[in-house]
Amino acid sequence: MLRSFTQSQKRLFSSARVLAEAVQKKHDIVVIGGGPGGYVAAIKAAQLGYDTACVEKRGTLGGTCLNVGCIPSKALLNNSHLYHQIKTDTKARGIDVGEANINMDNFMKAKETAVKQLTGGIEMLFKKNKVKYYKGAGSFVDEHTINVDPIEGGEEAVLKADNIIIATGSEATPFPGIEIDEERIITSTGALSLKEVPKRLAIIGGGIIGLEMGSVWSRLGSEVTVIEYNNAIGAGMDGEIAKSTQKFLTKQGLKFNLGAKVTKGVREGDVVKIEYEDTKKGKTVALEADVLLVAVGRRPYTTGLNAEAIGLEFDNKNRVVIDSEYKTKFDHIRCIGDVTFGAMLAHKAEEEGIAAVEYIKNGHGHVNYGNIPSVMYSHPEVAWVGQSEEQLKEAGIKYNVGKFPFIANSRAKTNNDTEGFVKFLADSETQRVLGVHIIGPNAGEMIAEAGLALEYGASTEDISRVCHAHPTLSEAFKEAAMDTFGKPINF
Amino acid sequence: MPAMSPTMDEGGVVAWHVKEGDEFASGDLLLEVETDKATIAVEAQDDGIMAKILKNDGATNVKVGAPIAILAEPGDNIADLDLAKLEADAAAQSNAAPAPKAEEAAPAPKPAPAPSESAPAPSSSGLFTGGKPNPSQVFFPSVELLLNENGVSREDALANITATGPNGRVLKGDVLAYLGKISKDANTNIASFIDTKSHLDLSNIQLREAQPAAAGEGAAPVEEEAKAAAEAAKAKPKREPLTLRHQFVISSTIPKKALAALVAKASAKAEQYAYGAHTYSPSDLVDPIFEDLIAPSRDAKRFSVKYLINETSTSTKDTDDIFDYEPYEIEDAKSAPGDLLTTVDLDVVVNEKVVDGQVRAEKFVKKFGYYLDKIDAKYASKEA
Ligand SMILES: Cc1cc2nc3c(=O)[nH]c(=O)nc-3n(C[C@H](O)[C@H](O)[C@H](O)COP(=O)(O)OP(=O)(O)OC[C@H]3O[C@@H](n4cnc5c(N)ncnc54)[C@H](O)[C@@H]3O)c2cc1C
Repeated sequence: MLRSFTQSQKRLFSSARVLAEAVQKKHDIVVIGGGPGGYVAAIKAAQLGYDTACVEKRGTLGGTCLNVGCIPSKALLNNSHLYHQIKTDTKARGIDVGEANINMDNFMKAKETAVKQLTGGIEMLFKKNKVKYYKGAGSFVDEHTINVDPIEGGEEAVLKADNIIIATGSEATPFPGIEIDEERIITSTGALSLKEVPKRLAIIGGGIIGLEMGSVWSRLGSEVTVIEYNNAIGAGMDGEIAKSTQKFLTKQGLKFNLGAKVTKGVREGDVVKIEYEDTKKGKTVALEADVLLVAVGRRPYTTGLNAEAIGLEFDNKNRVVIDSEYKTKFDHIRCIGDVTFGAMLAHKAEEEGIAAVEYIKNGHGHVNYGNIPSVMYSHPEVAWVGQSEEQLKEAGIKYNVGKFPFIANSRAKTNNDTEGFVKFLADSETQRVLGVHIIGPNAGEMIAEAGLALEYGASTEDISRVCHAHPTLSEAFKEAAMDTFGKPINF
Repeated sequence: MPAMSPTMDEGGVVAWHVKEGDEFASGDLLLEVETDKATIAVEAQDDGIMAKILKNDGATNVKVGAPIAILAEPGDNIADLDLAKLEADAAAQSNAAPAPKAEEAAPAPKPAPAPSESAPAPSSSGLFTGGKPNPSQVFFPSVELLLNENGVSREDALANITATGPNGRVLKGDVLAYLGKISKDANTNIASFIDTKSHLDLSNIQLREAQPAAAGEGAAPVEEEAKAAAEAAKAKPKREPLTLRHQFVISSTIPKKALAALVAKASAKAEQYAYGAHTYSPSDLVDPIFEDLIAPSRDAKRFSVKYLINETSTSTKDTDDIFDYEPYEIEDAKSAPGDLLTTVDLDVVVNEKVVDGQVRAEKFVKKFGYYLDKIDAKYASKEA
């Protein structure tokens, strides 16, 4: 009672004050959204000397990625892997451990600690770089004015800006007819904070998010069933990689139903009843689960932004329409990250954040859209960058394939962690690296070397002529490069 | 003005072989360019339209990289183009250094810049032809080795090799092409391919329909959309939803109930087909990861089907109760007298909020018709 009274009093006070001040809040650049796209843009802008503000309504910075995306999911992936390894993979290594158990509270706490440290870290960075942080929801009043509707701890404000960067991100795409309660029928956000291990977890969507969450809960003991409409998992991975990925995940206990069209998903008490049509066999299959995860993709998020009112354009997938310099219809309003075109990845949003500010500053920015890596943090990890075989075939490019399996790599063997391979695709004439696809331990780290190769236009020979330390997994990378035009040494 | 040789820094237009408004095909002769050494024919690298000639026949001392014409993509409506602005942009671009890459953002016309001397840039056709090597680079090991093996000095390499790598970097392919071990085309082709992939594909953007201000929820469930639509209806006159309307004629005699059952089955099967079929042909503009992440849910309702079976018959024997259906009635009805002309009137309301709503609805209509034809033919043969 008391608390709410003082709060509303504070509210009153602050709004009265702001009314008087409203006109004075003027910034060179206002960034709407404090996710990887927005916060990076704001810091960069401040570093380049602009008076910069960032509006974020979540209460913490870091956006989807740090709060309910990349970071918490990787915390759960890492710790569930550790648990699973202790349980299943210690005896043969000569380590006898007692019973390993999950303490769900602490398991989640470990995740939350990581999230808190990182989101708090960004707030520190804002202070350090003198980015003004408005806690609240931003909406357009006109094309130069943004109203901030404060959340707790925020201040009401009306901001005038010379330049505006929209980075409002994305949200989970709902599944028509299936009602999310984040308890039994959940999105990835619910999957990151389940209170107990569901006995049966069904997942609609065999994309990266679905498979990562499936891995986590399967390691903790759930029976996981993935229902995917397409005939391949992995949402656009190289075809061979997608197949191999499905294989190793199946070995780990995940079940896959591909070519399956979900027609029903309803909660009945503590179970979820699901029905799907097996499009290959043309019959309907019924399924029960304790939890149903809907992971059918993400869609741009502009709710409450009032962007329509100032006439910003959207395409038919609700992406904000931009040009190659991230400009919307208005030259001074730019848009980056998940809410506009391109892959929905945190590092892509960050690159665009930097580039958008550089365009404002000196009319030039750089993002190489042909060189944006994708990583799935299963075990082994799956990582790729550049073109897939399917894409090259489609474009009519002749290419050579070079492959090297980790089973033939000395470090992988010593670690007894040999699932996967490195696969190079190189232009058959110039030997230029066109794409690299890796399934393997730490593939997500290894893919960085492929990124360098792509960025500089290296040929596979250039990689094979670089000395790689022995014994490391990276030798497999080098050997696969060699395999495109010659013979690997160790296979 | 295209650079016809590495040393050329200005040139003249001898004669244009296309007029403004002319369409041309890849390989057509566009113009002849005069350098200090020779007159060289310039061919089109891509299909297109000559939007505007900026430097007329006889123009001399045109700096390399200066715009000489504006080319439009095939299908562009030249009348719609703001040529004055493009011209100014092109001029501004050619003055900026290093030459920025022509953006392939929209299917708008590209000014025709030429590779500048200092950095590689795409040519008028968007082909990435490379440029002078950056003299301060450390060579790739593959490049170093190839040069050594073939007795090419670093100086000669930097002077003579066309570099297609970023910032004037000499790639292995550049040396191979220079040495004649692979064709120059193979080298520029792959460089062009990589260049196109390095940009966000912003061509063919399909704007969404104007939506009520509260929207921003394109792939929202159908019910919600209906609600939003109802609200919008209050505010402004209602827009008719896109409806595909078809009438199919069944000429053979099929008892009503049997027909109803068959049509229902045809509808169900056609719907299954329409949802399952691929809607786009493979193209390098399609990024499958992104499509998947952002596409409307695969099960989002694309269209709704309504049909009416109309019989122009005097027979009232049949009831409409589908559960009453007994197979023997087929025989019964077959002997019924009179000409029965049956039509199936189909209304498919397209959910336009879902990108592929219309395409899938059309697929449905086609398949539905196909099934009806089959049913009709089967009964016709029975009658015969
Ligand atoms: C479970 C999961 C796992 C993922 N894992 C990875 C991964 O491993 N690697 C990877 O690269 N990507 C991953 N992603 C994707 C990644 O999170 C996104 O690509 C990234 O967060 C996009 O950044 P953004 O800045 O564009 O938008 P967001 O991160 O969505 O940030 C937008 C922010 O804007 C705020 N906002 C919106 N509207 C307003 C408004 N009107 N006023 C004020 N604030 C507003 C929102 O509150 C939000 O915080 C994952 C996503 C999920 C869901």
